Amino acid sequence: MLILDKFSLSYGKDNKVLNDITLQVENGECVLLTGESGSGKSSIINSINGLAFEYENVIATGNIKVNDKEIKNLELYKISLFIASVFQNPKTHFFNVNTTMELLFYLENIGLDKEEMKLRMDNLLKIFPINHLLGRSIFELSGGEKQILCVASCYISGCKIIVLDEPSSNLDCKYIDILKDMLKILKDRGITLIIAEHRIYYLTDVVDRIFLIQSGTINNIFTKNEFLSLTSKDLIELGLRSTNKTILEKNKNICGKDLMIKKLIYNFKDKSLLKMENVSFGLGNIYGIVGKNGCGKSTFLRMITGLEEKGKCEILFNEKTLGKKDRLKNSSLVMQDVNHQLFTDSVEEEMKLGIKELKEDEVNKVLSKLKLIELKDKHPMCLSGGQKQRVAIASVLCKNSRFLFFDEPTSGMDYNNMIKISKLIKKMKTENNIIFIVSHDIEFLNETADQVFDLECFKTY
Amino acid sequence: MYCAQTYRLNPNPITKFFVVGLLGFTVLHSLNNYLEWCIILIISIMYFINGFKKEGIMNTVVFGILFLIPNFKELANFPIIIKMIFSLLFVFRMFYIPYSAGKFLIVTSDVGSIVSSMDFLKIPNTISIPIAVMFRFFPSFMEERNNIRMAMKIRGIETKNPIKYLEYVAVPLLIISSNIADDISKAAETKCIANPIKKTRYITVGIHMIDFIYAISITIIVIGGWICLY
Repeated sequence: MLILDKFSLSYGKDNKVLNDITLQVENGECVLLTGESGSGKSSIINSINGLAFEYENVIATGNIKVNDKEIKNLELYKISLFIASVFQNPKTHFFNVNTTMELLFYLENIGLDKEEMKLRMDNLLKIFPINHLLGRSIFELSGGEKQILCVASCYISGCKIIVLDEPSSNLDCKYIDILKDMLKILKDRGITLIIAEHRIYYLTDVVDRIFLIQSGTINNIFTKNEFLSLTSKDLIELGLRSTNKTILEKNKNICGKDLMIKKLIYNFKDKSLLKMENVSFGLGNIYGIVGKNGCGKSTFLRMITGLEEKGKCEILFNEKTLGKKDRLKNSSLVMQDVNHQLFTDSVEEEMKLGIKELKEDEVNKVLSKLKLIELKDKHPMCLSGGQKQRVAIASVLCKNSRFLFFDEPTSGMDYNNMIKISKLIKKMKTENNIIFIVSHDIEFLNETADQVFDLECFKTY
Repeated sequence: MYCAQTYRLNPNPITKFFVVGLLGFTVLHSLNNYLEWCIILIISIMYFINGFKKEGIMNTVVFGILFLIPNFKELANFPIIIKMIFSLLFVFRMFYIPYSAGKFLIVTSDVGSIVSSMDFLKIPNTISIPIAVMFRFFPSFMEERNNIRMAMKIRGIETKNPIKYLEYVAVPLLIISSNIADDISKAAETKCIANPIKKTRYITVGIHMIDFIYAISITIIVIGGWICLY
């Protein structure tokens, strides 16, 4: 049994993130912690698995107990003997490069003998058919495959409690379904699951209780039935996403042949092929690009922006050929991890970077529009995640490009923030630009995009 | 047996460490040009048989270019500026052979085999774990660096001035490096790496024929080369 008793957590003296949290999770129970971004869900998860105490220099009061052991006083490896963790972004949460070694790594560290390791592996493969993932480099796996491997490695560890921090935020529908099935199996095996998540729909079969976290406190506790009886209006008021799977809305018929992909061919390492011919896009529209994990959405983005060296690409704009350099000059990109694209030491400098003859007035106008004017002199890297993303968007606005690209702008975002980003992107739409959004977030695409392209339609295997 | 990968053509990290150490001495006592080429070709062949064709070709091509740089004796007659630039390049050429063996070590060794081989040498955890983390850091770092490069290209940041380039690249690179390092340590710690009990290894790093071929051929070339010089 896991008990949090009057547990409070703060970063430094003034920044209190959790306030007087009291909750009890029975063995074998599945609880969902949900609420807005920054409400404290991840802090609860990181307190349970002990990472907050080791890595984030926090001040904690109250107790967290698992089977009467006080977590706060235990070393991380001792906590990891009974609590396993799945993180939001599986990209960097593997210690080994080889997938099989990663699965076995925990077992090696707890000193299991080889026969026992083999038994556990056989058992794992019986429950989760992941043979195709064994013996590969983690750099070859898609985001979905990595997350599955992460859950599998938690199971093989034999820990009775698994905490998951937004496990679906980088997954497509197919992998969300696989994750859902895996969680069901784990629950059936009596493993306690504590999940912090914005996306709720895939958990409705698995979850027992739902804790609504707001500003660091538990605002409400629902049983599954109580939660499912909430109307969409109630959910929106609580800042939560839908409890039903959202279906991608049918494409509106929009015309426009300003930008035309005459030919685009790219051969992938797995011998699949992305081939597009005569696909056109019109100015003043927002296009969503969907496709399953690993189908080549990022490659498509790189090709169309002129960043990709390989592959063949012929693109026309108003019937004139656009070479790689022209495309680079006319494109702007907001990356998924905005840390990659903030280069200077102040927000203002960031706006001016790479743009000649940009007037002070224009910078101020853009910054005011995005509510960043007060942060003008701050270092972009000391801002919060949401602010950083707005700085990246502001720099894109300053460049005033004809083609704007967004790579997963809402991954791991709650309903209200998703709507804010959607409104912002819609405001950016003008008669002189085309906006492309790569995303798995169907709610967001329904809200934002004028037309959606499924890249799978252009792929042959 | 769930074999992680075949080690038949990939030498043991200990052998690779030994070769890097031995080739380090060639900086102090340089070898005959033909022998230098032999070593470079052996390393390129090792890349090839392990499936790293691009790295194998690049290794030979880069050394081929560096080989054309005049040595200090020939440089003495050149004007001072050219002398300065070429001396720097010549120093790089001197270090290229151990660098090449080191790169082969990093590119072709995975963390598991490095930890196993250090266990085999009875190296304590306080040394072996940081080394293993370091090795795990490189591939992630390269992936992130490519993303930063992409972001710079699309932002129109000119890369001609190397000092300016460093200034721009430093901020995201430092932040991202520290994030990667944090994430890798978190991954390792939540997998009980600090557990003080005696650990087991699923794959014990053995010694194969390739270890002897790689180590002995390089040793003969280096030692033989020095003997011939005297």
